Amino acid sequence: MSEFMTNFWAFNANTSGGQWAYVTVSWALLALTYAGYVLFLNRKFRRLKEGTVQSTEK
Amino acid sequence: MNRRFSAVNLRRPVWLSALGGLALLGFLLGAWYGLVVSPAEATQGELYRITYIHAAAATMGLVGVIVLGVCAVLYLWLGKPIYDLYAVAAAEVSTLFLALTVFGGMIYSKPTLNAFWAWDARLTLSGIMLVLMVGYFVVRALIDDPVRAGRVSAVVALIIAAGAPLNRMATTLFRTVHPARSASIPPDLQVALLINMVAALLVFAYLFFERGRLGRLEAQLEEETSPAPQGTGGVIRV
Repeated sequence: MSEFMTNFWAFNANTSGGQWAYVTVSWALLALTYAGYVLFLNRKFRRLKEGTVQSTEK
Repeated sequence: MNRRFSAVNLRRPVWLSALGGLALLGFLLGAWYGLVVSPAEATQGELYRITYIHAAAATMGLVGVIVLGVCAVLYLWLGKPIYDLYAVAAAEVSTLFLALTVFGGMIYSKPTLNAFWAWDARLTLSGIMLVLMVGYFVVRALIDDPVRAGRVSAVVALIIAAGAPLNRMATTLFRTVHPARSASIPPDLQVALLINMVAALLVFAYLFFERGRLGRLEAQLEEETSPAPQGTGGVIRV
């Protein structure tokens, strides 16, 4: 394994590799939170949509 | 039957889809500038790339809290349930951004301050604000009557919103380890920060309106399945 990757996985903040590890985690947290919330809203919307259609049919 | 809400179109409006697309493009452009184009900073090195999203999320968290405060005032003043729905939307989205600020900040804090947490004015105020936002939803869940839940939670929202300026000015009012707002940013890094700020604003706007639409659909469904409250004529009086 290259020195960069060793420092990356060790989260060694004094090196470029370790710093990129923190940057990656932060950006991944942001992207996953956005994606997760959008999926949550879409699922909830689909469930409500089904409920609306059923209540109209009644 | 008097309807408290206009019927919600089940198809997403074109402008909302366009806003969602713009938000996604903004996020991708911000990631490109923040992770690829922008150079490493002189003191913090690569770690500075976290600032682009951390500062943007923190700003949107506070913007959300102010939007929540405005919706709460309008609900208490005019009594229209639509403002309560949008207050919930603002509360949910700003909680998301505040959580990103606090937890993202902890990740940023570890390599720069050598600790995940410091009992410092800015960090503590942000933590308290996040806890209060969770409290907002707890209050809503504890009260069965939707009108009363809306009014009580609007008061809670105003208390939270009143803390937003203090949080914003914490770095100038108190001695803190958190970098001040006025800290100079090199011009070539300012572009990446600006793009990520605009991207976060677009994401915030998209999520806010999408959550608002969902809230309206939820209210419409509730209205169709349960009778309107007696004696109010479908209008909530505060």
